[in-house]
Amino acid sequence: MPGGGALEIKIDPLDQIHDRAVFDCGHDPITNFCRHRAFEEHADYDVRVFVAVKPGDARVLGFYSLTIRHIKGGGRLANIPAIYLSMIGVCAGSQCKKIGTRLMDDAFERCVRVSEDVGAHYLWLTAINDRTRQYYQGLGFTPFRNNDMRMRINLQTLRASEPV
Amino acid sequence: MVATTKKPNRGTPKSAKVSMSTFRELLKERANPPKPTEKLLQLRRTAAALRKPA
Repeated sequence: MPGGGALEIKIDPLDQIHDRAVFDCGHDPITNFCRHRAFEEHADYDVRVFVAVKPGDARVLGFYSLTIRHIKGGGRLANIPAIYLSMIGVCAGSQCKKIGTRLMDDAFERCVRVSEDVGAHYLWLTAINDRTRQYYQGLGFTPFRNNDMRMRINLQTLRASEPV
Repeated sequence: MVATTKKPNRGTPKSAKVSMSTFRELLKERANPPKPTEKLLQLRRTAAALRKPA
């Protein structure tokens, strides 16, 4: 049993067996995505969705989704290949149990792994408010420009952060 | 009515459009990536500890 109030969870690719109906993270766009669109987009490979569940329990406690979204400089400049963390959320009743930490870590690990096979230089995301923006900044995400909610982190930085 | 297989707009941006100066900054950063912050290292360590079976 993990310590510090942490729940024992596993993180799996989204499947039909997962129960998303009661998921509510307190932010409607993320809640609605999880409940209504996540499976379709996952099955269509528009995004890939990974869910946190307790072993033996199909209820989704948290999830994140990834897709490929390049960074464009405009003009004749080439695109920079990048991975987009399009959604991440933890069920309101399961917050403060380190599920978000596990999901972020799993996303980082996955992005680094993917970039070994498919070229990508950055992971980027769009913070939903100032509080999450500050949280991501603490982790090393940098806004594309001042006050931009879109933020990126270099995959080499994530690679260097892996525990030995 | 014409049938269509076009998917509805799903709200995910197609790409991140950035200014030329930001783009050049990103190109430079590719070659010289920032070191992980202490908070990032802590997150990775915490998650690694949680993954280990008791």
